[in-house]
Amino acid sequence: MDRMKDYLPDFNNCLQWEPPFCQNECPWDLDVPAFIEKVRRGAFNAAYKMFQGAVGFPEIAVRLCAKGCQSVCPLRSSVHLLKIEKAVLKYATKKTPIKYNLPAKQEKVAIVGAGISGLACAVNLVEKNYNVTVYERSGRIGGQLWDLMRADIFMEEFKNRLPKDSLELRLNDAITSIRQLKAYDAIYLATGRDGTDFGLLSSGQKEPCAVIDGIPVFAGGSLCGATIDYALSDGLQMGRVLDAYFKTGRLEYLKRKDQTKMILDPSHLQNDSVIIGASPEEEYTKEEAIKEAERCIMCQCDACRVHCDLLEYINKWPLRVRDEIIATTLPGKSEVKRTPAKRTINLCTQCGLCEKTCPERIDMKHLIMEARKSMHDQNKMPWVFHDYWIRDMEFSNAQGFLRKSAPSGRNQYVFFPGCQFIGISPRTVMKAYEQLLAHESDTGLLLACCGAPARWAGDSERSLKTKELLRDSWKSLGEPIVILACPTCANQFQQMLPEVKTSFIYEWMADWDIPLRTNPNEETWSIFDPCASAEKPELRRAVRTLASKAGLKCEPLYHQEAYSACCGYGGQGAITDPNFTAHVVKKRISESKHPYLTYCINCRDHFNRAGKQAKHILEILFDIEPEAFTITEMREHRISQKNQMLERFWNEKDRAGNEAEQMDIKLIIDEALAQKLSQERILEDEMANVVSFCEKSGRKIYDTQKNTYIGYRKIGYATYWAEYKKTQTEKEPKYKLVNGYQHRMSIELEVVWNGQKIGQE
Amino acid sequence: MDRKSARNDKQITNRADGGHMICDVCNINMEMKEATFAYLGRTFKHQILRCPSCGQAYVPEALAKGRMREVEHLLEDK
Repeated sequence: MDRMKDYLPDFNNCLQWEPPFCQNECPWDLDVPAFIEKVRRGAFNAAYKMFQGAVGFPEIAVRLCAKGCQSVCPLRSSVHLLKIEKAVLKYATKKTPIKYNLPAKQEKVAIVGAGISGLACAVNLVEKNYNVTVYERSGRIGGQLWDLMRADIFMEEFKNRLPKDSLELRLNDAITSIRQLKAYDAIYLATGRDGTDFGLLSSGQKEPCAVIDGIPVFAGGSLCGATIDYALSDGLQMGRVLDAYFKTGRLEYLKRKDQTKMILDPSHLQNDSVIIGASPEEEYTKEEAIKEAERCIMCQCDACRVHCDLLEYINKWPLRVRDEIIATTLPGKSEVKRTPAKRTINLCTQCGLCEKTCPERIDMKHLIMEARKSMHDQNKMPWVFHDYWIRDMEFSNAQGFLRKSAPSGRNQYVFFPGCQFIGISPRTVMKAYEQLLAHESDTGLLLACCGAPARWAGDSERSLKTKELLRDSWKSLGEPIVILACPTCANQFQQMLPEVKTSFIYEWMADWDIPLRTNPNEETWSIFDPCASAEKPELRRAVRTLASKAGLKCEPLYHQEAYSACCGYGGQGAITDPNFTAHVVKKRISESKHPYLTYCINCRDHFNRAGKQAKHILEILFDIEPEAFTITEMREHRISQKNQMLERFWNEKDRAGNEAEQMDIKLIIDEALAQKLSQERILEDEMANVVSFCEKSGRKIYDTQKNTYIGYRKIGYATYWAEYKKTQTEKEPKYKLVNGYQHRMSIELEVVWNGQKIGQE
Repeated sequence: MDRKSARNDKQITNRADGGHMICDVCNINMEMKEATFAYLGRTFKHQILRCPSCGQAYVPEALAKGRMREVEHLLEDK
């Protein structure tokens, strides 16, 4: 939580609640998105109520409106909001104002001037059940309105909103001194243009409000220079100001609106539709008003939601996500508090697009990372979210680990291909090292995992262990420059071991004068920049140089360069919610019809598995066809590749192979089942382990219908079930796996059953 | 109510399946018995096929990927 605090203050600048441009321009601060939403669903009565609440006198307001909203609407053909409002007035059937049954207030308010501003203030206060007296020096109410519209229109409105006995109206009663109004608790001066201000405006006050003879006096409307629309708005707001004064005793003049800081993502302007009912004079039919309302794009700053796959997927706004993250990471048992963001925290791909696309640069990525650490430290992280990758990392850094000095004996450089590269495309790693040695013979080899799984799991302890392993290996090799192939590994080195100098194999190759395979069939590619490359312009340039040297025609992608997005692998959220990963990869794939050229082997593998043609730049340069391996094969590659490299470059034989745990049972697994196990992230070794346990302990069940044995074993956290057939041959029994599955719960029955305890191990 | 009846359905299915499952240790038919499960610090009981003699348990794939996975999800979100 402590480190999370570093990222929380940024959220105060979030523009999620900034008003849209039209609302900001509206004198009455109409909540346009909410209004439009009501019109869209044909709720004209509800829209009318809302409009009436905002403008006080709807029929007057639509005639005073200067259409400022239209001038700031970002659409090329701006939405005719005023025409929609007129349609609402026309088609609404229930126009009686809502009467709230509020208790009568003791305070008495005098309003000087029965113009639009004074009466608007009166409406607001009468609604709140204050005693209101309006003084007017002339014999009629309405002030300037007499010059602007037909009298029957505004008189009808006044009649509707200010019933006869709701206030005391004193016509032909000119106030000459504030002292005349001693009996009142507050005074609003709305005497109009050139009206008397009783010295209030010239008294040097910052704002036109002061306490005169013990009575608070406010001025507003045209008296203070407001145009007539703002005079109406001032009056309405002044009602709220006076109400607040009576409740809190504080004199706070109405606040002028600041310019909205909202920034609209340009993607919203792509489908700029044609205006409905083009003639400005014609009135809308109901259908036309609804259609025009549908044209509104409901401006709101949503850059993060446009670009962040996670916010889009969970359909939540950043401030809510922040609150949920705080709630989730607060200490305390889940029985007494909610943990709504447990999955959200573990789904983030850590691509960093949120911060880059946010106008206020709010960093959700690091907040989420700190939240993961906090959850891990509090022992609240469900193990299953990251366990598979943690075990994979530990395998790479134990059985799959290799640290070798260059065959020349000098280590100016060391090649660090990354554990996933060896698993997914072992031949490419071999070829890359071969090329490196041909150009720089003093290049050692370090086969290990960079520790990204531990960081993504929020597991600081394991991160530290990996850091120590890598630092010791680097030191024992004589602190060489590390040549990397994976941008995620590079980020890990940068964060954990900033003292280590790193570069990318692509940058080296771009400088080499090697014959590169040219593009024979003139295919067009899209370069998919991995999310981890966003801060690495040299890397991106080197890959583009290589692609152009290889004669590849490349077209840009929507998310690229510094704004590169994740293929779905980042942050390892695939177990937390497989649908999210599938959603991300599908979205990425749809961004271009061309095959993807990438330089992160995980991206390549992820795209291939989702059915998209994609190649790693090294696979193209070395003419290696991508293959889809099962997770078991990918693990085996780390051993077999290590052995092959040892043999090839150091002439050492199979030393490492013996270190690996050899299963005493070899299972026969057909292709379909192997694929199924791989998809469910079950290693074939784990199945062999279960069968071996069942055979040794005898703890198994026999299915008389299928003639198969079924048994289970808890390995690590999970419980694995294997269904198999056993056939006795002359030499030794053979085991054919029929099915395999796993569950996360553990079976505790041995302890309680019949008082017996039959331990598994 | 719905959930309860769905669970009963599953138990019936399990029972129907159970007739041909034999505990290889004791060589007797498996029966529906209560078993205790644990996940993320919580324990709970459920009826599954077990050997009436030694207590050996059987969790069919449908249960592991159905109701069990649902409960696992619920507990992970807690």
